[in-house]
Amino acid sequence: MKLNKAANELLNRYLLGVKRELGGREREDIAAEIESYIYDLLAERHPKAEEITVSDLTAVLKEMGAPRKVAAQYSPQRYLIGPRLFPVYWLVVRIIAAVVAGALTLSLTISSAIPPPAQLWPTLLEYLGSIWSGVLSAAAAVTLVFAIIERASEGKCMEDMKGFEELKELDEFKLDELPDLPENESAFSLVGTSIECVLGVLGLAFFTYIRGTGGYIPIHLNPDAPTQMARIFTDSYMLFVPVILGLTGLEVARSITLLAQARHSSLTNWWEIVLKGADLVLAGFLLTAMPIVTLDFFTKITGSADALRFDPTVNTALTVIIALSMLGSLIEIIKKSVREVRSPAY
Amino acid sequence: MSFNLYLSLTLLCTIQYYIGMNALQNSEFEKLKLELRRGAIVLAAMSQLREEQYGYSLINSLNEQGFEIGQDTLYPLLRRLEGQGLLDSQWRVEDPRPRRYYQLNDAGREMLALLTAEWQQQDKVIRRLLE
Repeated sequence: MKLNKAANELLNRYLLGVKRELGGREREDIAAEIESYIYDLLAERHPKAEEITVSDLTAVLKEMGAPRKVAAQYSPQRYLIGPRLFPVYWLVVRIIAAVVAGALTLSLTISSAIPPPAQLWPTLLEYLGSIWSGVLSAAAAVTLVFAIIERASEGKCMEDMKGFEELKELDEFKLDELPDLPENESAFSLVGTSIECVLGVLGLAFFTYIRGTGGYIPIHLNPDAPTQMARIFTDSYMLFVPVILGLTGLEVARSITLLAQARHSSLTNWWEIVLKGADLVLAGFLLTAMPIVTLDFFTKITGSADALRFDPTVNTALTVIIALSMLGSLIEIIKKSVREVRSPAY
Repeated sequence: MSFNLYLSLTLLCTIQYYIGMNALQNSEFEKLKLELRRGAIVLAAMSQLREEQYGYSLINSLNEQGFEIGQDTLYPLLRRLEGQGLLDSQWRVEDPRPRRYYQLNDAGREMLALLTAEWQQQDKVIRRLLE
């Protein structure tokens, strides 16, 4: 007995849904066991069938219920907001976030229409800051309320939860709501993440040192001569070093979280998206702060000041590279956000 | 006319009341039955794991003997019992898919003996109480 192509894809999507709901290192093992059970059930129901179709499999999956329900049996105590309430919670968070963002946008529109005209960048930054804090506060409040409801309703069965009709989706789920099989979903790589983590720590050490020297690095060409300090970063770049340190620290923390959970989760995916967004903003500010590097380093090595003539060229090249990387980052942020919204990892 | 209407309404209300009460009673019964079964599930599952079984065969074995259980209850239970050191399990490829086989280990067999004795003792007490 084997599954036809469409049924096999459906089964893989279902199992992916279950895995995304499960935490910990046992998720693959649990999913494999569920798969084994489904095969046994299909073999019993269709003993003579050479090929299992989507409709055969659908009947079994419908009986088992939504992936969230299946996964919940394995880890009932894991959630702050449990699987029974999560669909409603997520809906409310999205509505509240949209309302808060809409209200703040309206407020910005009205205030910018009233004279005197506000400055563009400070107003925009203030707006982004208020959106961030407003949405975060609203989401925190909603989370708190749902966490209280979750605790208050612990131990009650599904039928006791009147007023939450959406909870029935745990039993009656739609197959088209199962996650798509990602063709190139980034699999967790222990080696890759470890390297990222080590590079992050090295970056932290480097920028901490650079911050202490004011943008200079030591050069020790002649063993008999004293160590010289050569400048590589300009003062305008040094203004951003604390921000770079903060972002690098957050990147290291993300790598450590990835190593701890040994998989990409919704948390680490959104964490990456937010960090990429922050990097994008930083890159934008760096473009306005050009020149950010100097070839003073080479003048010390070669002993000739000629290298300084190439400062504008190097900074122009950097401007182009940063601008191109911003474009790439923007596309990546959009792609990752869309994927995470459409098919979130848990 | 009004008497007939009154009679019909009274009849309707009475039927609705009995249907409602019946549904409530059924729902309460189901809840209490679940509570009653909860403790017995571990013993029932362990009793069948003296011999090696995979999940689906264990479900069938229990169901055929009149103890209804679903995969959503059994698999997490097996995982919990294994975590408690009472079961051993291993993946094996047989017929032609991989299956996970479970069996009680020494600690599990000891625990099963203790639980069986406790169950029999409680059974005697309950029988006496119900007489």
